[in-house]
Amino acid sequence: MLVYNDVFRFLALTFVAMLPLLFLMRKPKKGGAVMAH
Amino acid sequence: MTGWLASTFGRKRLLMLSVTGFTTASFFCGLAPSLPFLILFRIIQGACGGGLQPLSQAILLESFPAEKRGQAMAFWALGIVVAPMLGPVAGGWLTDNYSWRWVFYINVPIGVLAMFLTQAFIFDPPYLRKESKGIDYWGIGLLLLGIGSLQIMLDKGQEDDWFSSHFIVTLAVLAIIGLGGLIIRELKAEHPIIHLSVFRYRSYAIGTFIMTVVGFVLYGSTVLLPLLMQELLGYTATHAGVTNLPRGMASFLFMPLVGYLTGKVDARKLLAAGFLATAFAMYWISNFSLGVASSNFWLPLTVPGAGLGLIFVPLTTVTKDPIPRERMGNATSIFNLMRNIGASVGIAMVETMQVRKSQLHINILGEHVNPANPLARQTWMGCGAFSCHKARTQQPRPGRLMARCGEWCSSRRLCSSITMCSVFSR
Repeated sequence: MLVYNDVFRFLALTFVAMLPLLFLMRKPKKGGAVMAH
Repeated sequence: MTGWLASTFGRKRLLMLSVTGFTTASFFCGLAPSLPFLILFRIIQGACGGGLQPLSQAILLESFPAEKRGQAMAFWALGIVVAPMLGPVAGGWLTDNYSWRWVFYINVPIGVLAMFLTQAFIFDPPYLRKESKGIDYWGIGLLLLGIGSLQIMLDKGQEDDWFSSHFIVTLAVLAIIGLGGLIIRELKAEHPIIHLSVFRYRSYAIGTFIMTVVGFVLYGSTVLLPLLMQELLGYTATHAGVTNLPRGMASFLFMPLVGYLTGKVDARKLLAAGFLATAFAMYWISNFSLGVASSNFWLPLTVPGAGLGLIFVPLTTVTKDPIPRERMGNATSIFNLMRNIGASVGIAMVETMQVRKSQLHINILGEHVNPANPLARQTWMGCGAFSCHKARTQQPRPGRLMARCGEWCSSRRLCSSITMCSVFSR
């Protein structure tokens, strides 16, 4: 069980580490309709 | 390759070919008289089905204006997130009540309906066919070599003890040659099969990397949970499937709401909420012991289900936002490919961590927990009247033994107990 606990904790930390990257992306535009058909 | 194939042969034609091929191969999988035939038709099914995700995503992203894309992606992502969670339950029920063949036959009416709908409602945009020019055979070859070697390496790595095996080292070298060569080739080719120029857009480059990590964590945890439930807690396949249902249900209920919010709230804030919620749920599960009841999983699995809803839709929207429409097919192909590679790496890494961490914990426990250690002996006596020896003879599965011990001891003491079971009963 300790192994599973360790792996889940690792996965949680991996997601937390992604947080700073989110705000390096640009805010999406709200307008600008693109219609294909 | 989907982006290149769509621009070469036409998106509608490729989509029809993919749906028809997938449906026909599914039918023949159901009819398969032997394992080799089943594998052959599964390969055809996979080859035809591979293009469905990027094609459908590209069509949706181009068909809706920017402010409606969030809602469109929410409905699209419902299938991507919920299906892998409901699939095992539905598949288990069909296999138990009818036959495994019905797991394949069920695709046929849905596929036929998809063919009619594609024929009636999908049209190629005029700019798409203008691109079809030469065929980059070197690019195709290097892509197949690189991705094929990488997938086999990740699949067989743990089994062959990774880089101590010549086979794995060879595959790693081939993957580096294939993928490295592909990047160089595609940057120089006149008509590349993959337009790496989309990585010039910062949001796309970062979003694709984040999606790779999402694939890593999502599939890593999806592999881990049934193993935990069936191997350690002694659940049946159906019980484990039902216990995992809240995750899929939460995504199912949450995604339309997220689709609505994506046009109103900064998508990056929704993403941050999704990442935090999922990380919190993983941390919550990481504190479980073997005494956990199946009802204790419901809330911690509902939270990441909702969290994945908060991740998939806004991430797709933010990542694809700067991509020009003529590059959308290419961008969605790479985006989906990277999620699948992330998933393969996640599954391989979780399996490796399981084996290596098990060994580490056994070594630590073996070092400290032995009959000569008075603290260990005292803890063992505190476990009460339960006889591990009796449990082992009556219920030979170690998962059952550990689950039974879990009723008596807390998680840390339990681990000591399990080790002591082996030490004292020698």
